[in-house]
Amino acid sequence: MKKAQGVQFNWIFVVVSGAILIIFFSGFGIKYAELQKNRENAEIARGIDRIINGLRGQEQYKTIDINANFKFEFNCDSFTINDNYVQNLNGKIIFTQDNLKVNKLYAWTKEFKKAYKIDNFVYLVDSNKDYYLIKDGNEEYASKIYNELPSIFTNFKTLYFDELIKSQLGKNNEFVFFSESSQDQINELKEKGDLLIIDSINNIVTFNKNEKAKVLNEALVYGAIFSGSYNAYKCGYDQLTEKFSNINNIYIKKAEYLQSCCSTGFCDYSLVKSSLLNYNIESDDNVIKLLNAQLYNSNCKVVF
Amino acid sequence: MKRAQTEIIGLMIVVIMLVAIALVALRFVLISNSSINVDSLLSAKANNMANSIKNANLCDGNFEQAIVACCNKENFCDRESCRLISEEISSIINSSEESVYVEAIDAYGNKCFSVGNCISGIASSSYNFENEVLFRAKICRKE
Amino acid sequence: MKKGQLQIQESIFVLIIFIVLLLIGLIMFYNFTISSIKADIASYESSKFRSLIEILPSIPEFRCSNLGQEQECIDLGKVDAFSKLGFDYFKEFGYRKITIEVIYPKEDKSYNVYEKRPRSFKSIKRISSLISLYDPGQDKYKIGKLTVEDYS
Repeated sequence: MKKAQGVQFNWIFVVVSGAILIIFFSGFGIKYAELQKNRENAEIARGIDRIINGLRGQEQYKTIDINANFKFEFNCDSFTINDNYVQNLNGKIIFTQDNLKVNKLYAWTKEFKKAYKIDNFVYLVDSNKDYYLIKDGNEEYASKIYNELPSIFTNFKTLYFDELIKSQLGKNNEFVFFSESSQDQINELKEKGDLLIIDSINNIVTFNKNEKAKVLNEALVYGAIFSGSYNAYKCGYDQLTEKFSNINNIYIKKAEYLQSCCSTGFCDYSLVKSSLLNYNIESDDNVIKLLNAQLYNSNCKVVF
Repeated sequence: MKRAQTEIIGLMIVVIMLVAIALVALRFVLISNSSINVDSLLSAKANNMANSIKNANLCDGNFEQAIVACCNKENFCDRESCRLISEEISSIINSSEESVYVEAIDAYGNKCFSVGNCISGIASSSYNFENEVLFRAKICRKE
Repeated sequence: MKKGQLQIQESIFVLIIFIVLLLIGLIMFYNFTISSIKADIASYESSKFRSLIEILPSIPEFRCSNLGQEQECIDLGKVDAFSKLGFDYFKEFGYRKITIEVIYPKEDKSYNVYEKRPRSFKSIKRISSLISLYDPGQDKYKIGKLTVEDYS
């Protein structure tokens, strides 16, 4: 009996220790695989951040090609890769969708300028999404927006609504109207993708849920198109407004300084300064540009 | 049997120690990649330096005009231009924390002036003055 | 029987020691991987810090502009305004100190453009570069030293 019991205990020992070892090694394997995933996510995030930083200097475009599908979540001040790695954007003004699942992104920069330069926007565009710029009601403007896109943006088309209805649509679409569209047209497309209506006369964009925002020039029109939603667009617009305010205040202070050091009979900075005080992001630029140019023509130092 | 088991344990210890040493060595090998980052920093500094010198005012003109005068063997600011530039640029370089080499070359490939000395370094983009003079700065690598 | 049991026990000890050594090796390797990931992140942050020398002279808050056209220099009028207005640029610049010193012509003039220190820091990294400056008051181009210090 004792011998049989001894054999049993032996087997129990073998099974238990074997189980412990298997659990440990599998646990190690899983943890290590997780670690490698974290590393991969960090590399993807850094790669995107590096490209954004590199592009910011001047207007240019680039394709960000990662070999595997990844989830990109835009959080306004940062972005998250695969719900795991968060990369800070350090105040850069980015227009992109809230959520993307891609293996390839297009990146493009465009200057935003009022009477003076404010910043370069960076657009991150989903390469898997089909964008349809609908010409009905405003063919010239739709074509202008289309023609200024970089050549790598092969997922954009410009066409009439009738042509759009007849074409084969994929699963991931965005439809951009450049004039008021009928309810029938909206109903036709509502379930097939995101819908934007850009009113270039009143400078207003209407998003999916009838949310409206200002689009002051082409740079913001592209921002609205690539954001696809009100929240994502608002993030960039709010950052822009803050930056505009900072730079405008800098120029006000500079005008004050020039008034104190360098104003003469001809060189009077008070008009430019008071124009700058009343200048906001939606203001017309012509008057203030003219006042600045008059300084130059009078051989005075310009404010901007 | 005992001897064989002892030898196997010894072998395992040696293998694991070799793997550990190899991993540590790999880490140090990977660290040397930072030299690429240092070169891009030096390139930015060299471009900043060359741009700042060429723009800066000197007497009633600027360094660009003085450098062209030096290559044309003319006076600038009532002084021998090459000597003036060398003195001024030397004083600028002394205020920076870098080892720098600055030169200008005329249309025939002759060196008009140079300041500083470099065994190896990263050069700025070359600036072309009046289509006849090439000007550039080089930040020396720390040896 | 005793001899057999002894031999089995010896084999078991051999296996245990082997497994323990393997476990130590795996743990070391895991820790090495973690520290290499941390080193990658630190190296990237470090390269972003160094790239500020290239980026700062071109940001619209400092860059020279003439009738709306940008120029390759830093406008001292704007720098002075920026430092006096005291904006919150922590998002953009973080825990850093940015100064500009006019070195040519020698003027003994410097601008504390931005500074934000953490409560405690282990080290200060520092980079500097010569940059082109424009003084709008005197309408002159000067040479300055841009210094960026990073608190980490």
